[in-house]
Amino acid sequence: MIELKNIQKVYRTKNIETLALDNINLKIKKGEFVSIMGPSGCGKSTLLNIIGLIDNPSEGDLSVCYTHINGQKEKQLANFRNFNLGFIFQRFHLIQSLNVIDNVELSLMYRKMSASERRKRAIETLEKVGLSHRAKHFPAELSGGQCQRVAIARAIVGNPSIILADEPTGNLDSKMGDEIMQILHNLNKENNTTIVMVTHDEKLAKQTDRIVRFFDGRQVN
Amino acid sequence: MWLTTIKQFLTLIMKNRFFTFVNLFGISFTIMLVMILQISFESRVWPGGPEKTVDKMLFLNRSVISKEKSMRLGGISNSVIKEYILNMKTPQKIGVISYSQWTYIGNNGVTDFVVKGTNAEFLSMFNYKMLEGRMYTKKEVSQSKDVIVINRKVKEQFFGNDSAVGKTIEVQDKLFTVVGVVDNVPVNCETAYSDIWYPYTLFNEPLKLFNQTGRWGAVLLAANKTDFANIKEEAAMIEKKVSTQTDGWAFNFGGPFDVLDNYLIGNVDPRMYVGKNISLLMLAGKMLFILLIPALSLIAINLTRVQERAEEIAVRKTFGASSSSLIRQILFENFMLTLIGGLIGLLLAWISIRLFGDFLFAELSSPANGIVNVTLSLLTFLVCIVVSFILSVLSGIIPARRMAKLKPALIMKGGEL
Repeated sequence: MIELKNIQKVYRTKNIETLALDNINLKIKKGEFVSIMGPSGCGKSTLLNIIGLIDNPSEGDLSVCYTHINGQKEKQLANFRNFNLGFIFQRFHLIQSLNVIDNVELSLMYRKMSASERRKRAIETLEKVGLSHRAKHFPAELSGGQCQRVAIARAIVGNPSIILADEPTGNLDSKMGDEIMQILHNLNKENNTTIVMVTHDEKLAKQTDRIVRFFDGRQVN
Repeated sequence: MWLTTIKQFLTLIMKNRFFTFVNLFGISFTIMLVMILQISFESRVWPGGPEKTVDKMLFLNRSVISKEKSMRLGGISNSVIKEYILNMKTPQKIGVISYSQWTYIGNNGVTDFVVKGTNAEFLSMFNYKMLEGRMYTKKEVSQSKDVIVINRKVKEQFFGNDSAVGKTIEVQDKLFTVVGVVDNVPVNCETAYSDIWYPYTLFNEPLKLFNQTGRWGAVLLAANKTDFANIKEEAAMIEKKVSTQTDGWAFNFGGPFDVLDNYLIGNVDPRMYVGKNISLLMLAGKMLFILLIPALSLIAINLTRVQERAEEIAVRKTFGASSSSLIRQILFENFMLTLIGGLIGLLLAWISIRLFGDFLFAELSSPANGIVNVTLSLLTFLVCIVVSFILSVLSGIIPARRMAKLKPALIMKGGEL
């Protein structure tokens, strides 16, 4: 489902060159739930950005959903992200000026779809995360756990085959964190969605199919 | 999608009230200035009122008589009017006018009146609102009867609230009988406007030479616009014929011109007129220049919002928005804001013209300060929308491109943008 071959990422400024990822080779199968662990600054998020096609590798080959990504144009990548990838962030990143239902509809806005169909799918997805009663509320009126559930609904409303979660429980208490993990496990099992999750939490990582560890930009297991 | 965009736009402008106020102030003030120019332009070219049918008229107000390096530019002489213009075959009606002014010294001081000598056809071409009596007839004109038509202002000054019809009034040392009273004509109806109308045959001024200019003009009414070409052709024939009687001088009308050309020429040599398209393009260029300066300020304001909206833009990109769709969205939002500013600007322009119309149309209203007929037409609204659109693109494109270039990966790194 996801294949990285000799991926390297170098950040260059005028005077400094920083090697963020060094020769990464990784294969993730369809339906696999993979955790990525490592200390801060080891390149976990950079890896997730590259898999999520919002950052380019400096070198190496990348395939996502069995599609070779290198050399694709910005518009093609945007379209690919829209149909195949869902993102969940530690800080939710909901659009504050949109209410819950409009936030959930976001990825569908960039597809050819009627407004009524979009709304129907958004409501169904909100029901899945137990927040349909909050559809008209704004993010500022929700708790952290509720915000993350909205973010999950936004990530899955377009039925992506891969979900990329960057510390999805990092801003939540343990009870809320467990709830979010339960939703992710359900998605993985029921829809066979491939999930790649960055986490610092060993306990949560152990709940996943596989742990990939990073240190100083290198894969260590 | 656009409904959601509109909803979000409304939320945004309500949340950032200071930004909205500053932006709207700049936009509405700019568009107010442009709309004042537009409304005053439109009110001069198509003033409505008695001049509702100007689109079917051609105007002959100028003659240029030249020989080598010498040139005479002025109105048309009485000889050309009487011998040629009044005998034209192609117009449906031919109205002739001689322009003059009457200074009246009365108990209340000095008053200047606009006086026009015309034929009966001239009066029938315009939609004057008759208050009393009637217009003078063809027969009265041909018989040089001492009759006049006056406007309400003259009637009130000389006859108060009494009926004026049948009474006499002395104008330019000649005694006239009032046959009709019409309502005051707005001063921006420049051709139809006068305070007093009398038969042009009354003052028997000697005929001028063909190589002289005069103080006459003519209005040629066509059955429809397709006849304009024939009328212009006939006018060109007259130019040639007159030129043979001018002792070597070349005679030109430079026209006849339709109402828009007639305005755009201004007071320059009509032979130098570059045509409607170039003249309008030059006006549009001036308007664009007026818009450019506030657009730069609006760009600066909009750029400060790039940082504010960076997270939202990055999230949209992450979830599949392409740069082009983001640019469209941001430009659309900017257009909505500019359109609101534009409509406020239009309202302010309307109020300004109502309050300061005398000042704006001052050169028209001499010697009499009269009413100005200003209307908001569909064209005004269209110009308002087009100007708003141009301003929104000018002020929005750079910030929109800047926003669309943001790297969403920065958010994934922890939201430090």
